[in-house]
Amino acid sequence: MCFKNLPIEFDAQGNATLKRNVADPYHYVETPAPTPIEDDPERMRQLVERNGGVRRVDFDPVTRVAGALAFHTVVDLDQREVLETASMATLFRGYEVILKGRDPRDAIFISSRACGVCGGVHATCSALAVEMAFDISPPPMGVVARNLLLSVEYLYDNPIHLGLLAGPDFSEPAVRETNPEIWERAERTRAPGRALHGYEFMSQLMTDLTPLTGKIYLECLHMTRVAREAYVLIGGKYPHPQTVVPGGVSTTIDTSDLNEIMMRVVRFFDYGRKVMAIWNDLIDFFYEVNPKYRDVGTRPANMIEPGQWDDPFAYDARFKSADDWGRQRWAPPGVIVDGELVTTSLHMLNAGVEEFVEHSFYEEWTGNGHGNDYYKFPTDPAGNPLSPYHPWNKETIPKPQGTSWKEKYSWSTAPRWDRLAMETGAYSRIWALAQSGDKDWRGSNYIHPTGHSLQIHLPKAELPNDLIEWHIPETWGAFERNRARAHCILYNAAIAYDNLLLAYDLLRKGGPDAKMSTPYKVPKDFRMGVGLWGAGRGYLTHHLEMDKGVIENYQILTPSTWMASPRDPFGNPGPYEEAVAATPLLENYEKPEDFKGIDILRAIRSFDPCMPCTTHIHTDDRTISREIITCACGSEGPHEH
Amino acid sequence: MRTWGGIPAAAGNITGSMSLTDFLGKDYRSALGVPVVNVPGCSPLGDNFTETVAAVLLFLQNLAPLPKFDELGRPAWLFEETVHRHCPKAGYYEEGVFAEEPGDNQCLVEIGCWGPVVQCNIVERGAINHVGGCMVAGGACIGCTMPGFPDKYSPFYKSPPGSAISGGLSKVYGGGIRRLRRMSMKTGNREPLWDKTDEVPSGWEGAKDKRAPVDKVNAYFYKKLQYRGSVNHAERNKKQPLPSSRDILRQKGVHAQRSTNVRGERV
Repeated sequence: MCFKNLPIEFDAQGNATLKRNVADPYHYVETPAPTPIEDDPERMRQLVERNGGVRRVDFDPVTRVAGALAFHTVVDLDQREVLETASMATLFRGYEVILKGRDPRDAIFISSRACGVCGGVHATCSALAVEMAFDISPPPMGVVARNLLLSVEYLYDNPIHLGLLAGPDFSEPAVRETNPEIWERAERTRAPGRALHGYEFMSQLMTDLTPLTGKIYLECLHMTRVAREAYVLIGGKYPHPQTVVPGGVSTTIDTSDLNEIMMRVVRFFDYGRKVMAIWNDLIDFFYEVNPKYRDVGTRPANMIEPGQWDDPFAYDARFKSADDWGRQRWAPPGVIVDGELVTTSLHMLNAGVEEFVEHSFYEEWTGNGHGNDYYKFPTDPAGNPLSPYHPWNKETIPKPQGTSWKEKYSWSTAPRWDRLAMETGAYSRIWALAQSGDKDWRGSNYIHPTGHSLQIHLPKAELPNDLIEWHIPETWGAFERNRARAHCILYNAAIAYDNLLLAYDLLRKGGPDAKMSTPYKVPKDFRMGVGLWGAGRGYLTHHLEMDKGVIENYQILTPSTWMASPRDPFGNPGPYEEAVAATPLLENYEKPEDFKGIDILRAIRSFDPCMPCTTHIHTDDRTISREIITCACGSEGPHEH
Repeated sequence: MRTWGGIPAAAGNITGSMSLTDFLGKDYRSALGVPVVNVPGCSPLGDNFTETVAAVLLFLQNLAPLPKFDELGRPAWLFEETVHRHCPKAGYYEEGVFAEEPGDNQCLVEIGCWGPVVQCNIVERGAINHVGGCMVAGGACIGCTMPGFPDKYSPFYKSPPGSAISGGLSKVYGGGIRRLRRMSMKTGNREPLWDKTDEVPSGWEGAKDKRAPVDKVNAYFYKKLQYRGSVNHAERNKKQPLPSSRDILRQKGVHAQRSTNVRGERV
C-alpha cells in the first residue's frame, strides 16, 4: 500500500482501485498560503521589534544554474534563520502548446529542444512515448545504443555540476569571503584522500576549485569535452542528438565506433575516483568544522525516480508490461518516502503523479477548480485510477499575470506524488537502486546494491583500486546531494561500460538483434503513450495523446519542475523552498551588509537546478541586477540603521 | 541562440518568440556598426560561434582579413556550402545507393535527410573537437541551421519531396556509374604479377586466381586508354622476370598445414 493521501486502495491481488463510496475522490479543499511577511504589518512589527536583522534577500537570477531561476527569501540575520522562501521559474516557452496539432514524428526532435543540457534525454523519453503509441519497440542494439548515449551524457552532466556550478561555492575565494575562519583551518588540515586526488591540504584543494583558474575547474571543463566526444559518436551532435528515431536509433555502429567510445569511457574510471575523493574530503571537512552543515538544504528524503537504461531484452514499449521492464532497468524505478522505498512499480509511480497550478501562471483546466467533473482518463491503459490532475488529463493554459507570493508567482507547476513534494536527481537513482537490492534487477558486472549502500567495482586504471561504496546518508541535505552526485560519475561509467561490452557482443553475434531500428507506420486511430525515463537531473516523463495521426495533447514533466515547484494547494512548499527554509545561516558576517547568502545558494545549487525545461519569455522587464545576489533590503524599512 | 526563432517561434507559438533579426529589424547596427550576425543552428556549434567571434576580433586588431558575411548575416566561409557537399555519405548518393531504414550506412535522403539543400558545416567540422556530426553518426539532417526550421522541414523522418526526382535520377545514372567503378576496381585490386601468373597467393577465402575473360577484355581496353600518350606499364610488367623468392615456403618444402609459433618452434 504505497499511497497514504490518494484515494487509491489495493485488492487481494494487488490491483489498484479507487476507494469505494467516496463521492469526489480527488477533491481537496485548498489550504491558503501564509500571508507574505511584507503584506502583514503586524507580523513585520513584531519581527522588527524582536531584532533588527530581518531583511528581504532576493536572488534574481540565481547564477550558476542553467536557465532562469529567481529566489525570494526573508531572513533573520540575528537568529540565523530563513523565515520565508519562494522559488520562481521566470520563463515560459510553450513547448507543450507548440507540439499540439503536430505529426507525432515531430515530437522527438522538437521536445529535445526543451533543454540545452539534456536534449538526448528528452529525445529518448519522447521516443518511448511515441513507441508506446505506435506499438513498436527497438531491437536490442537500438536500446543499447540509447543506453550508451545517455550514460555518456551523464559523464558530462554530473561533472559539470560538481566542477562548474556547485564547486565554486566551496572554492578559495568563496570560503575566504564568507567564512575566513574555515579557510584558516583548511590551511592546516590534511586531506585524507590525497592518494586519489593528490592534494595535501584542504586549502590547496579549495584553491583549485576556483572558477576559471583552478586546476579542478579546468580539468572538469576538459573532461566534459571528452564525454561529449563519446556522445556525438552515437548522437551525431550535442546537445540535441540527430539519431533518435521511433523504434530505435539511426546510428551506424561498427567496432571502430565502439573502440572510440571505449577510449573515452575508460578515462572516467580514474577521473570518477578523483572527483569522489575530492567531494568526500570537502564534505567531511565541513562537517568536522561545524556539524550544522548537515542541515544546510535539509528536507525529508522524499524522492521519485522513473528509472532508465532499459534492458535490451526486456523493454517492449507496452504500458501493460511497464512494471516488468521497468524493474529490469539498470536504474530501476522507485519512490522513496522518508528515506524508505515504497514502490518500484512504474504503474504506481505514474498513477501517483498530479500537477497543481494554484500558485503558477496557468489556468486550472478541470473546470470548476476541484477536478470532480467528468475528465478524459479516469484510468490508465492498464486500469489503474488516474487523478484529474494527472498529466494525461492536464491541459497547458498559460495565464501571465503579476507576481504575488500569496497567489501566483512561478511558471513552474507544483507536481506532487501522493500529494507529497518530491526531489529527484542522480541521488534518487542510486538511492532507489541501493534499497531495491538485486532481487528483480537485471544485474550489472560492476554495480552491487546491498540494501543500504551501493558498491561499484570498476576495472583498475592508474589510481588505487579501492572499494567504491556509497552509503545511504543518515541526514539528507545539500552536502549529501553533492556527495551522491560525485559517486554517480563512477556509476555512470560502470553502466556505459556494461552497455559497451553488450554492444560488442551484439555486433559479434549479428542477426536481427544487432539491427538499429524497427520499421513503423504512423497509426491513424486514437493512441496514448508515455515515456518514463529519468534525466541527468532526475524524473522525466512525456505524456502523449494522438488521434488521426496528429498530437492531441503533449505533456512534459521535468525534474526541475518537481524541485523548483511553488507551494501546493495543501499548504506545502516545493523542495527548493523547503530546503532553503530549513537552512541555518552559518556564514560569518559581522554586519548585515556583508551577508552574501552562501548557505542559501549552496542549498539551492545542490539540487542542480536546470530551468529551461522546467517552464518550457519573460513576463515583464525583470531587472537583472547584481551578478551573484540581489539584496533588495526593503522589508525592514525605517529600522534599517 | 536559435538564430531564426527556431522551435519557440514555430507554428503554435503563443509567446510571440521571434528571431533577433525580426526583433531588431533591418536598421539595427551594433556599437561596431554591423547589423545582426547570425551563427545558425539548433543549437549552433560552439566552435562555429567562437570562430566567428575570433574572426571579428582578429580583424579589429588588423591581424586578419575582413570576415565575409552573407545576405542574412551568416559567416559565409562557414555556411555558404551545403552540408551534403562535404558529407561522408554523399558518395552513396552519387552512386545511387540509399539507406532503406534507420541504421543503414548509405545516403540518408530517403529516411528524411535534407542535407543536399541545407547550408551547414557540421560534417566537415564535427560536432566537437572534430568528432561526430549528424550524418557522420547516421543522423538525417533536419535543416536546423536554416531560417525555415522546423516547419519547412517537418514531418521529420519523411523523405523530402524533391528527393523523389533527384534521388530517382541518381539511382539511374548513379547505378551506371557505380557499375563502371566496380569494374575498374576489379583490375585495381590485383598486383600486375598476379595477372601474369594467373595466381593470387592469398590464404584468405574468396581470392580468385584467374580473371574472367570479360574482365581481361575490359582491363585490356582500360589500360590502352590509361597509358595512351605515356609509358605503358602493362607491357613493362609483362617483360619482368618472375622473382625467384616467390612462394618461398612451398619452394623449401615447408608443410603449409603446420604452423610455428613466434620463436620458430614447431607446434
